[in-house]
Amino acid sequence: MHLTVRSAARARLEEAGADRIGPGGPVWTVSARSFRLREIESGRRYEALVAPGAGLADLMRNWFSRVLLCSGGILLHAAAVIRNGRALLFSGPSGSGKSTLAKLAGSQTVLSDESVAVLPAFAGRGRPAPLVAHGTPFFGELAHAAANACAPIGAVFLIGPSRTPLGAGLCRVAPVSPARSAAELLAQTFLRTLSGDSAEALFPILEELAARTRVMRLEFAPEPGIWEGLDGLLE
Amino acid sequence: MDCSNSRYAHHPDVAWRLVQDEALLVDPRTGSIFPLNPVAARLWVLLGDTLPVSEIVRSLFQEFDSSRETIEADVSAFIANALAARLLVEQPGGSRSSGGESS
Repeated sequence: MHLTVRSAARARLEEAGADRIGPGGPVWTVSARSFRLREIESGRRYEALVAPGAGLADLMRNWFSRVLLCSGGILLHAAAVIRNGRALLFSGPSGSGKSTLAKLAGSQTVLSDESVAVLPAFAGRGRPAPLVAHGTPFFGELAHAAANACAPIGAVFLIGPSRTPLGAGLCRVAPVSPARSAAELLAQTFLRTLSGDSAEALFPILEELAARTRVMRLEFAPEPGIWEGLDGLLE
Repeated sequence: MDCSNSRYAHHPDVAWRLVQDEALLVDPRTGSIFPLNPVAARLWVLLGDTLPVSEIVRSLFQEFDSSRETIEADVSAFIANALAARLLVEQPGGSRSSGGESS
């Protein structure tokens, strides 16, 4: 695969119109205010126009998101740790504690401290496919925290600053309704511009995540004992 | 203001999906995301059928354990907010008059 990156004025990118997905012919496959990516030859050659100062990492996350979307998956702004054979996802905006949790993982496998791919696994005809979290090359503070591994999702935690004192425990969880779970997870995808088509494509996996996995709001103290605390809450 | 005969439709740009008994609305024009609770989700579905508001209130009154007055107030507030956010469009043919008695 060959990717050509060219610099383009931001104004030109903003004039280029909305993103779309479509078969046949060159189409802009990823678009945002700071970049556009166009498929020149299916699966082989791509061209990106990037605004001065825009990050290539952002472009790659968006592109990766689009590719995953075509497979029914999403790239989620989340850290993930494999514990007891299950992936625990911690999703939230920058500064919410994803890297902090990854640093506390010790010898446990960290799929990423920043971006996790979520895809339905093949489970055979007529059987519900479990959702699986995969490590990605994208990382936050921890460059080594990007394991080439995957595990079925055990729980998804929406993380953020603690609003009230935690008391004696190291963590506290609260249930989140399915639609709010889907809404908050949608806000943590990397699709900067969300077309109607993109939203429709995202709905099935978001619905699956919200309905078939345990999604909870988590407040926590950044202490090594957090994992045992989570075990207790997940029992 | 009586809007009991008014009819509305979902704005065609709004993407939405039922998530169990709730709903998730996405407005790609603004990037806004709206999770709806079960009552609001049911109201959203009924609004999409372009039923007059009076029929929608009647349906919700039969389906949910709440007073008619509360439902009417909630429906009016939801519609006002959804119109302001351009999630709904008013359909022609429904009458809207000031000071009338709601059904």
